[in-house]
Amino acid sequence: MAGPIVFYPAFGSPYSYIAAQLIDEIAYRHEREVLWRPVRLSRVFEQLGSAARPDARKLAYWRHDAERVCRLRGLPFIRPSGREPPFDCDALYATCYALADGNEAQLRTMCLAALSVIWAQGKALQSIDEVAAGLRRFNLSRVVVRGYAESESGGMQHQAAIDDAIASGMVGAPWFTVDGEGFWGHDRLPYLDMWLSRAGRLSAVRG
Amino acid sequence: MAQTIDFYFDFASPYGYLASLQIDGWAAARDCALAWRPILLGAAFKKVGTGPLLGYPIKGRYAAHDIARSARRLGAPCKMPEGFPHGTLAAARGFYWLNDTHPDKARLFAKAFYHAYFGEGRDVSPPEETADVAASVGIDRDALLAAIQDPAIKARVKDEVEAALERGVFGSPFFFIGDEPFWGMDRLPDMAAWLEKGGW
Repeated sequence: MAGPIVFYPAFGSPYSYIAAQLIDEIAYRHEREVLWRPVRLSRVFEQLGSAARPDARKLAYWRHDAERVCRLRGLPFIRPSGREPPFDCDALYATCYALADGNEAQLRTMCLAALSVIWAQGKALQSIDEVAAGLRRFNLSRVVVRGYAESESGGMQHQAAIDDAIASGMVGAPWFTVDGEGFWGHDRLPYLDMWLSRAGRLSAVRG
Repeated sequence: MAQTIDFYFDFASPYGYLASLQIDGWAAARDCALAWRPILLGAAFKKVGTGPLLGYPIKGRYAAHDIARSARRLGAPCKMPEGFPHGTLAAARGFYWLNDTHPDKARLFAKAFYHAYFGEGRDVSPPEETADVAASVGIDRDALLAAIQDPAIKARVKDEVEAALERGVFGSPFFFIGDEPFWGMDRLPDMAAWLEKGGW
């Protein structure tokens, strides 16, 4: 098996939720493994020193577009209401990494769950209480989540993923890398698909 | 013709260039008419407080890579002009001048401009060079140079840009199918679905 696709979703990003529903099928066709590495976008931007949130007009367009993409693909989509984004928190990432504890399948399951709670159920996961309630099916309690949030291992794995993402050129979410090539956005999945096919690699060599 | 799609683009937009290479065939295959509408994004960027994609240090590097990769996929030549980006007012004025009487020529001129600018990487933004590009596709060089100084044409471009901003255009390429906005050449597949389903 050739090298893995590393998939960096951000739980506060609706396009990451969309990409999360699409990536497995592409990877399966090309016989590649997917390593899910959730990264909090606000932390990535902080570390990159890049600008604050885009203006209202662009945000409004993105909201409209993300919803439109979900309708087209038949994906449930409910945006958390009555809250200000970002709809995630550091504790959510620490919990995913700590609970999965190196188990890739478990980490994937947790990513899918976190993204669904936020974007398919419209529930923000902005506090330890909300993370515990939203991810109840993993037998989490407030105390357990607090433990994960304060544990070194969860936070360190999250930080390591952020460092890797940035080192590989991450500029926004979702971010993907495969064979040293980076792709930004669910709308670049067709590129990733082509890249993994013979034609894509040939044109890269020619380019 | 099923309907008319508005295609907004800035002559200094690399993704506008890449869209321009695909859009005519794309629309023809779907029995749609296209209205090419060059605009100047400077005003839009000012309004929303952003700038050209390639001006952002990290995003810009990714964009440059993605533009080259996208061009390779299309089999299109792609070379960034020295000192990019430039103001492309002369080209926009020239386009609208031609478009009123000879829309086919206007499109031919737009394609020739894009090819020189992003295909060959030549800075053809100054009026004299823009006129040379026009002449290369059989347009009267002097007539174009005179037209781009015509107050009516100047006002026309200003109005077009204003109207685009009013409509919600903030990037390039930007499309409308009816009232439905689509931003970016990467939305062509979604636009195809929109046409096929009559919206959803």
